[in-house]
Amino acid sequence: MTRLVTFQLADSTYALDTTQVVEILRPQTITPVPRAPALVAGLLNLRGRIIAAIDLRTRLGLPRGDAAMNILVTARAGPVSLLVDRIGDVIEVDAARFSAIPDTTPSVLRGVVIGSYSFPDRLVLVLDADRIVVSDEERAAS
Amino acid sequence: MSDDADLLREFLSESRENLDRLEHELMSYEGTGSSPDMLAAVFRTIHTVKGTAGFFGFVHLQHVTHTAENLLSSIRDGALELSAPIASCLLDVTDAAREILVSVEAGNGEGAIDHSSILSRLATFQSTARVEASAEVGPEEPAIPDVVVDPEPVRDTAPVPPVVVAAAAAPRVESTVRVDVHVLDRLMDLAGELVLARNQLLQLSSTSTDSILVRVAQRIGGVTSDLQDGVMRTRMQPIGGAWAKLPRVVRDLAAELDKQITLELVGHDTALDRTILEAIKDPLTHLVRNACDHGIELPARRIAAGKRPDGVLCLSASHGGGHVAIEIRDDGGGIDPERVRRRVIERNMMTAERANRLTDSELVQLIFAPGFSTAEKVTSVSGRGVGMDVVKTNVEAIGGTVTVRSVFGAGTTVRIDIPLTLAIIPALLISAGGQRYAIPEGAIVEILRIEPDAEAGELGIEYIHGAPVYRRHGELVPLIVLADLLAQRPAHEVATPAYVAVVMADGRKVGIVVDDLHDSEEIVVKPVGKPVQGIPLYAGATILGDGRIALILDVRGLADEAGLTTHRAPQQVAVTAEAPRSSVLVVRGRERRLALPLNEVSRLEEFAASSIERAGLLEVVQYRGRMLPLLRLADPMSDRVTVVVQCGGAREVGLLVDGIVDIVEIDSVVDTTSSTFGVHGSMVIHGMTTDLIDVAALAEQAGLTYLRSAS
Repeated sequence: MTRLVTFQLADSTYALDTTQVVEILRPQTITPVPRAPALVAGLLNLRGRIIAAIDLRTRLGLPRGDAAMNILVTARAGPVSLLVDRIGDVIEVDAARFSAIPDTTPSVLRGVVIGSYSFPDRLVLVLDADRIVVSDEERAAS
Repeated sequence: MSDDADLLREFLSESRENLDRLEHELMSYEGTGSSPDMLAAVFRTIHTVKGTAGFFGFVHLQHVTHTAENLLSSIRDGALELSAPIASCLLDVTDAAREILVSVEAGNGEGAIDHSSILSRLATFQSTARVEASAEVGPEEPAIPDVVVDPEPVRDTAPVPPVVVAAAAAPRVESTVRVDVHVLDRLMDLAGELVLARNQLLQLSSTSTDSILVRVAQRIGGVTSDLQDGVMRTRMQPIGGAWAKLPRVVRDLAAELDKQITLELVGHDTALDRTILEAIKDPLTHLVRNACDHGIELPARRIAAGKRPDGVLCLSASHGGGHVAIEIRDDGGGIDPERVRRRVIERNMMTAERANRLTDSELVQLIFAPGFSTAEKVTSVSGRGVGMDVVKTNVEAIGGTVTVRSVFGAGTTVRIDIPLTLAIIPALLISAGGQRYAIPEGAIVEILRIEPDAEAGELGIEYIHGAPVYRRHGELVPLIVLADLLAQRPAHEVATPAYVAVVMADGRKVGIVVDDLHDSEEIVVKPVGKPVQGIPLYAGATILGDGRIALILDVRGLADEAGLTTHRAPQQVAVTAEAPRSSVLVVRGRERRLALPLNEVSRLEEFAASSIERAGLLEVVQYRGRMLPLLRLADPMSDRVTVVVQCGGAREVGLLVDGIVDIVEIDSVVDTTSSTFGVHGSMVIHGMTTDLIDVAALAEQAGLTYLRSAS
């Protein structure tokens, strides 16, 4: 069984593997970083450490919203905080029900979403934290 | 059992210390020659190593050190002179002994390393000992070498680098504890948290009437500051540690390459975060090897070039402007830009057309390109073409930059700039666009307040093509309006009174116009995560007393971003490669001011007027072993004439001008209504009409082929 942390962005439900999630934080003071890549919402002070906050709506090509809840994840590039609208439940899913993303998925999602789980009432898109924090150049190169 | 293990561990650590000391002692001989004291010390040290090896039954180690001891004993008794080759051989003994210790530590006993070659070398030296000498020279008069006929003459000339002496004099005692860097990081973060909690406590106590609470709060405040300071210092280490091995590296290389190299180390106390120190060790060693191998020439060649026979390799480290700068400078042959050009074309790294357009300084930077190596032959030292790009990658991985400057024939300087991650630096806090930022004080020259109705010409802001500048003591200081630059909008009029932090960026003064000035504070430079790290405007970030984050500005990055990093072009300064295409060099011509596209300017030179010769219809001057054709844009009357060397394609022409005025950025739009032959058009610079010269047309008119630049 795989455990996922679910969260809400616009009208959709997304999820991250619990092994990539460090902690959930309430809305934090975020210091903007002028001239940073668009996906960077700013920096936050996590108990003396400076962590970049990623505007997940921008990263996923969604219209800007008031995402303020933080999911602190460990990516290969280091810890970052993902800004989401609302935190959902932690769910247990059967890995066998995992399905790869359909070809029709918009390309902006295809870089980040690794697959999905279908439930009768909803579809949960699973993100990979490592792929979220990749600059445009790196994305273009790969 | 565990007692034995403890003993063994002690043996290993003690033997290592002894071998280190032995190495330092031998190296000090190479600088100052032997002395009875030094010989006695060397003898004692090797004797100790031999003794303990015997105690533990390490027969190989015992045998090797014993043979070396015999040789030293002959030297001490005067039967043999301590010569460079012997010292070299003894240094090899220390290496061999270390290898054995490594094997012992790994639990493989003494290992299967073959020491026969070193033993036979020792024996050969031993056999040359004067048998009768011991009778003539008493043991209390150890041999002092006469003039040593030295096949590897570096020893005669190399003065002992001060670092080596200091290290040799100080007995090495292990009073350190190894701590996982992550533990230190964690302590560091916690100390930062404590500071914030302390601040809140102090705020609460300030409104309290309870005197005990106030006292306790103040005490906690003081201790917290000390604690933070202490934790921080545990991560800092002098750079001397990273280059402790370099004297030996240089010495061995010099011997191997038959060169004479004097190593100078400056600023070994410069403290750096230890993770950074670790990361730059290899790049530094590589650069040093490179300088020894490719940079410094053979003594004969140096003498022929009119230099002293021993090459000087100087490493210096210094703090400044939120960075640590490390320079590796040699006075060797420099980099031949033409050779680089040929190589780049040969290797298909660039088309010939593109390579031909590059200036000398642009070409020199190409040594960092992957797969580039100009070494004619692959040596064991370097020259496999995997070096410099790895250096660049390693330095960039820790957020640093590498640049190289080279004057062909006179030497090369490689400069590594590394951010002071996790260091404490004094910084000025300012605000712009509603946010606070920190400017490292090391970069700040002065802070100005510009009054609204400043005296004309002396204390006011002027505009050149919309770009604000500030004239101070006759010097033109370009201004960056920080809020505008950060918001990526063109600078609008600067509101006065204005606060300006004048900083030194890449060797030139730049004024940063800020919205407001705050305090000066000691800040902790903290690393920022991946997606923010690569932004050149920032050198990192810090957490302020109230828990808010302030980004630390990188003044060089700001100046780059504003297009202000072209050199201000005093005489004879090579113009940097990064000049934006819209920059022009303004010079004085016959009657009016002239502008030359900066991307075609390769150098500014001065020649004696008498050195101008006639060749057919052309005037020429000898320049770097070639004839440089001159085009007259002015008729200077003085003895020395200023020549702008322009390069279009492979062809260089010199433009004779009356003087250099400035380098300015222009809009790409030029008024072409005044366009005539040889003039693209005109514009107003510094309030004067200035013609933009079409060098190619003038060159063609003079019968020279000169490629027009692509733009």
